[in-house]
Amino acid sequence: MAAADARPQAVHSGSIWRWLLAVTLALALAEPLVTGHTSGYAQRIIILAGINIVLAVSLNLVNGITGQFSIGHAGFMAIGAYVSAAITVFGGLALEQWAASGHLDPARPVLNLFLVGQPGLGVQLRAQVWFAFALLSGGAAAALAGVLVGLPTLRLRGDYLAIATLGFGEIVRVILLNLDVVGGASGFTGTQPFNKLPSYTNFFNTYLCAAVTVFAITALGRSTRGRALVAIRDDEVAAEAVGIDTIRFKVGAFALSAFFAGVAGGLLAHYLSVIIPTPTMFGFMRSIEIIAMVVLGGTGSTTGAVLAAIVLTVLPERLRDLDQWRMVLYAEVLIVMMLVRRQGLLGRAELTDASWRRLGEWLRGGRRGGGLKRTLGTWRDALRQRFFVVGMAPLTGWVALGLWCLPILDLLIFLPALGEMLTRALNAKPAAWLAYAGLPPRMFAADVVSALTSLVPAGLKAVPIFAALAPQIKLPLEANPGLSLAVLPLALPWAALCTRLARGDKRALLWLGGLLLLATWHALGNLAGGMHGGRVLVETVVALLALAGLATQLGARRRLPAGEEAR
Amino acid sequence: MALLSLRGISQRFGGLLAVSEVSLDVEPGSIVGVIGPNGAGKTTLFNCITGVYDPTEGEIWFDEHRVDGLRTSELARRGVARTFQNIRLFRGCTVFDNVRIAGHLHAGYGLLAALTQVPAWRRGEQRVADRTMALLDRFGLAAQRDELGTSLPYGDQRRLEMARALATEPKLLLLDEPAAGMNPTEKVELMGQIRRLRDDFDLTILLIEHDMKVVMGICERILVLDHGEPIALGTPPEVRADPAVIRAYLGE
Ligand SMILES: Nc1ncnc2c1ncn2[C@@H]1O[C@H](COP(=O)(O)OP(=O)(O)O)[C@@H](O)[C@H]1O
Ligand SMILES: [Mg+2]
Repeated sequence: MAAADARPQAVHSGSIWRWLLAVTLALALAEPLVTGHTSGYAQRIIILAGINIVLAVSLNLVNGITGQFSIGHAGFMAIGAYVSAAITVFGGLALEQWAASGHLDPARPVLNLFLVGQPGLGVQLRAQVWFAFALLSGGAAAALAGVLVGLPTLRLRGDYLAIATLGFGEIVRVILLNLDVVGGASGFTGTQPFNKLPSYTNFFNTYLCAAVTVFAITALGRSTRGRALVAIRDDEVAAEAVGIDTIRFKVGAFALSAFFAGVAGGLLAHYLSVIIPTPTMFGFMRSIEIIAMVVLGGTGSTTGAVLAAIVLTVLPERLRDLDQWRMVLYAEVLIVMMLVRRQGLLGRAELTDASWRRLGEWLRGGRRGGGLKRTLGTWRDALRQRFFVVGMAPLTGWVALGLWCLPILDLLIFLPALGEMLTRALNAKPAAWLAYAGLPPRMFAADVVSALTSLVPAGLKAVPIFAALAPQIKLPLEANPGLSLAVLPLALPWAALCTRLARGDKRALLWLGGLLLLATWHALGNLAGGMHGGRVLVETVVALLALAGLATQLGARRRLPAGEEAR
Repeated sequence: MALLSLRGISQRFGGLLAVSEVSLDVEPGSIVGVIGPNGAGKTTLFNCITGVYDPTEGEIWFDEHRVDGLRTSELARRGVARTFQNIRLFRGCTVFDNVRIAGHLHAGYGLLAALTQVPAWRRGEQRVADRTMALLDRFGLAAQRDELGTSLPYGDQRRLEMARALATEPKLLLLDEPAAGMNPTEKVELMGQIRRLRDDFDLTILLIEHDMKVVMGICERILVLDHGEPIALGTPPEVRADPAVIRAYLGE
């Protein structure tokens, strides 16, 4: 080969430290700008975006880089939140009392750092040291949970792993729900009234955590260990064959990812000052949110995860007055991405200086890229193929087509909402046509779904045995028309369709997206009858998913020997 | 003392005895051929040696340690590397990364060094990168180093798999049908390359091939499998003259 090829791969030294230093300085400079010149509302979005960056980037380590499809990230987050909150609430107080009672010498330098009430160092600084300790402990607890979850789920792949991790997340939530020390179902705000959950989280420490997360995972990716994770994603059998202990690495990835999720949970807890184990804060819904960020950004791309975390924090916040539509946004992200660009916006690529050049090249149809026109063409073809679900029996084909219309129809309705939102964001008056196009069809579609799903309980009631059983097993036949069982007739064909269209985690994503859509629509349709149905419904969907997962698990008992693939 | 020693290895899949009572001693520095018709159990035997299966019966000794039941990764760490009959490259990784990933055992830095990017990390990375480039050069793949491994032509993919296996710095290299899909002259050429690899890297090689004629030239010894049974074991001339082998290959 040419001599120029002999040593082309120079390894650059630890630029990461310089970056971290630069970012810290930049954050310190930006802090007064952010806190001084923006509204409280904008600050809230900025901080939530920072927390979401930590979550998305850390989940991407497992889902994107290691290729293990986990959707229980909110569970780790919850553990971190509660552990760190418990430490700042109980720990600070206990240490203070202990020192006051003369058992500890407050003059000892390390201890002194933690005694918030003592004179000397600034109270603020002490609080932050204490907070850092709490965050690290929360992260460590979450990492421990990560190992515990990682180990048993190693045998599972794709959607099976998804179900198992989902189950873990829900278990954590339910445990917290019943843990009275930390407030149980009414949430944890500290021990009233003297020792509240402190709001330590600010712009600086949030983004410092985000920066550390990004840097740690980037550094990992530039080392043999990070590449070992990529190898596991790309071919587990071959990875083992080159000496990568897949068990250790997978569990390690789970633990590290959980650690950062725990830290993010701690940040959130000390930002909100009240934590409640609801699905939206620490449960299924939150996990979906984070998944949507990873899927949108590109599974495997850290910069993609960062960008998607920002976009998917800002957009729904702007959609606040259309609150129920938040979930539709996530569902749309999942489904549309699975339809048109499964690898996410950035795929595995990272956004670097070179990317912009390549983007220009690609747009012009240069060397590698197909050019915008050709790309649109391939997308169109792909869509065409996926719509007219090729090779299905006529009936399934029609059902499939019908089901595909749901997200598309929904997108059509959703787009005007998006338009509305954008015009509002620009402080412009919504154009008349937007207001018109937005509302009526939205309600209409919701009504249709709701009507459809409501038919089922009525039908069930007609079957005597169900009618008789209903009070015993609390089948919600009348009280909440269209609960659990109602989603079934729509959810099942959807699941069947997903099974045919995609495999593994892609299938799980399609599945989740579809169910989420149905659930949200249904909840919207029930709007008149009281919104509480929506929450119960989502929980039911989760239960259904778990059931379906269990069924598939039982079906998959026939264990393939590991070597089936090693040929 | 043999580097690898199989003692009465059997592998059963339900009712099928894929490998039956195979015993074999492989001396350090030798090239041993495993031949036999399709479905004879050759790949299964490789899977037993590399720890993909824990053999139903028998013992495997490698480098004076009993190794059956160990994990594949542990065996790779101890010096057993392999290629796959159906090429298994790291999809989505470049040619360079395919080999670099396999060099991880010899980078010589830990997790902490990786996360903090201290000089130990940089030196280790540079060492791995240099060795990767040297291997790519050796296999004539240096020019394609930034291309996707899976986008290479078939023959290059096979060579890339070999380079990847060598990056783990093995003592024993198992090649599963490296000559598949080649024409007879290419096959002969490949056998010459394999012999040079053995000499340059101090390897011991176990080689699966379909076609007896191809391996006659380079193997010191040949094991013939048929329906999982070892029907002959010996030098090429011995094997060629063996009536059982003639029956298996020419009979029916
Ligand atoms: N994991 C497995 N489960 C069941 N049967 C298997 C498995 N692996 C291989 N076999 C069977 O064992 C026999 C030998 O296969 P193999 O070792 O691949 O043959 P060869 O490599 O010699 O062509 C074949 O009949 C094959 O179907
Ligand atoms: Mg074979």
